Amino acid sequence: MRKLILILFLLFLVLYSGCLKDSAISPVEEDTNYSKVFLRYLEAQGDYINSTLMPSVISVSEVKDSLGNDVILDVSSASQFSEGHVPGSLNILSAELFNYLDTASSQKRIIIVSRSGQAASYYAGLLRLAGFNNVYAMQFGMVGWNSAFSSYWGSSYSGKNFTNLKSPRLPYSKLPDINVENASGDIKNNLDSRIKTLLAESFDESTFGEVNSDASVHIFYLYTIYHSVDSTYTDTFIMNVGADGSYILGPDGKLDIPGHPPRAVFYYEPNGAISDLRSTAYLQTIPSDKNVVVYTQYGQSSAFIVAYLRLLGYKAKSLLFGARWREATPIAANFAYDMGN
Amino acid sequence: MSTKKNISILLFLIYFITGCDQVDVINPEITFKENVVVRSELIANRKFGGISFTKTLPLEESYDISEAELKDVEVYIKVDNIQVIPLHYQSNGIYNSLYEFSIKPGSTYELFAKYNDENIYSITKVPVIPVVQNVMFSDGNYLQGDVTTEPDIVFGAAWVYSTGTVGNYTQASDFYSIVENVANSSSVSVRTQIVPQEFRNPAVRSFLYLQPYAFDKAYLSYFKTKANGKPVEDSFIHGGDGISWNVQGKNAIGLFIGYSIGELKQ
Repeated sequence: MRKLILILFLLFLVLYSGCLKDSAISPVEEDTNYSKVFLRYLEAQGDYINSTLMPSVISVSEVKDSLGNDVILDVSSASQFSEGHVPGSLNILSAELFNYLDTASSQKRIIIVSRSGQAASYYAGLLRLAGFNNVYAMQFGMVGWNSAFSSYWGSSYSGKNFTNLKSPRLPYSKLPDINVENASGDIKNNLDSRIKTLLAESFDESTFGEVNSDASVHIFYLYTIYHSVDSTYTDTFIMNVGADGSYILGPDGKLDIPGHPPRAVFYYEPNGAISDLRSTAYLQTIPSDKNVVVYTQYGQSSAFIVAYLRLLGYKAKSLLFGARWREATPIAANFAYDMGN
Repeated sequence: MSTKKNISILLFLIYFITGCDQVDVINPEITFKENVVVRSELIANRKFGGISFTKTLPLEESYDISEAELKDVEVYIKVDNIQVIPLHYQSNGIYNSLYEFSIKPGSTYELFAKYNDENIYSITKVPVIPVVQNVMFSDGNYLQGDVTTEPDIVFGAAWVYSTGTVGNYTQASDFYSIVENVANSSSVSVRTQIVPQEFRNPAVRSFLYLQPYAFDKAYLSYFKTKANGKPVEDSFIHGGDGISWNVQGKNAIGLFIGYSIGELKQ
């Protein structure tokens, strides 16, 4: 009897499985890399980083003329803020910027200030990418406000082992992999969450030592790795974003004084008409598996660009104070400032 | 007892086995199936023209692009399995990149899209520009020549009448055939449709050219089936039964096809 049941059961399995239909369509695989989702979202929101709005910096004169009408947020440390700050400004941790703006519902312009405007540009860039379209960085920060703060701008230096030979772009590489808490959830929520994380990162704008913080790096650090051409150096990709001259020429436009660090690769700056950082251009020639150092003329545009690249998952850092081997210290306006908390 | 038990088991099995027979009842009111229709041509060395996402409409409805277009497709393309180019809705169901870019011959393009939580996918290789040689006027009524081949690429040819002046350009509306390199030789022979009588006249024949086309191999299946029950020019618009598409996805049809066009040759 058991044998009969077994035979019948097997017969049943054979016959019943025979009437199952094959799926007519093979399942379509989904590319799960989330950075492409951010890329698409940011483009749909106006592609800020490749627009004429970038970098959203505002001159110290304009800030001075508009005192009382703007919200001025200084992300310097408490002790630095106490040394001097724009009258009426508020000292705030960078990690608190998002929630402050999210709850302030202010129609006023938001001006982010730091000692040299470098860190302010990074954080303003992140806030712009989050959709806060009224956020600006004060150009050159307190260095531009008053000469009393000039020590916060890095001293000049000559290029070591610099060259004016053009380095070719690298081959296209995959977008970085980034993790979000809920990949199937709302894109804007995932974007905001990542931006909050990046706002809490360190952007050290110190003028001395081998600064190598989360999002910034000092030329002295690069010099160290130049002098030991080891894996650290070859794992670092240096990119100059600007105009041709800034890459090729040395100070005063001299060709015999080479204009860029060894192996640095040139990208046209975003200016509305052209930008090498577009998805259709050369964005993905930036290697996702290397440390990336971005430099521009004064280090402010590069901080905005680094905000964008870090949001997409690149291990990017802004070179502090830009091409300091060829650009002079910004001239201060000598506006009055407040001291204390 | 044992016999009853066996009968019960048998009845149970018969119930199951017969239960899976499907009886297709044709109800004219429910035969319409909405498909997502994808269309894109990627032509070597030309600006990318975007991808069209529409849905099929019931035959009794007049075709209205505002009804057919899909506005909320998440879509991007990937070039050579690396470069990601997001596409954005523009108008009339067309999705395009934010900035212009040109299609690279020899590159592979993948389409990734999501509509109503369903994934849509396609892949195509854009052939290198075909070169035709040994062009001749055969049997007094069509052109033929030899094109150099490459793997997974198929070829077609169109006659072109061109005097080189504006307004004096006419070309074949379709291909005579799409040919593949079944013999694995270095070149294959292609021919055009029959050239209209007015262009065959010896006095004007010097303005007659053969233009070679190279397609992703998926086009061969489409070419062979595109006339299945539908006018060729409307095959994207209403239906598509029996046509071999290269777009994958639940209820998704269409062509995402790369091709390249060679120079005119006599």
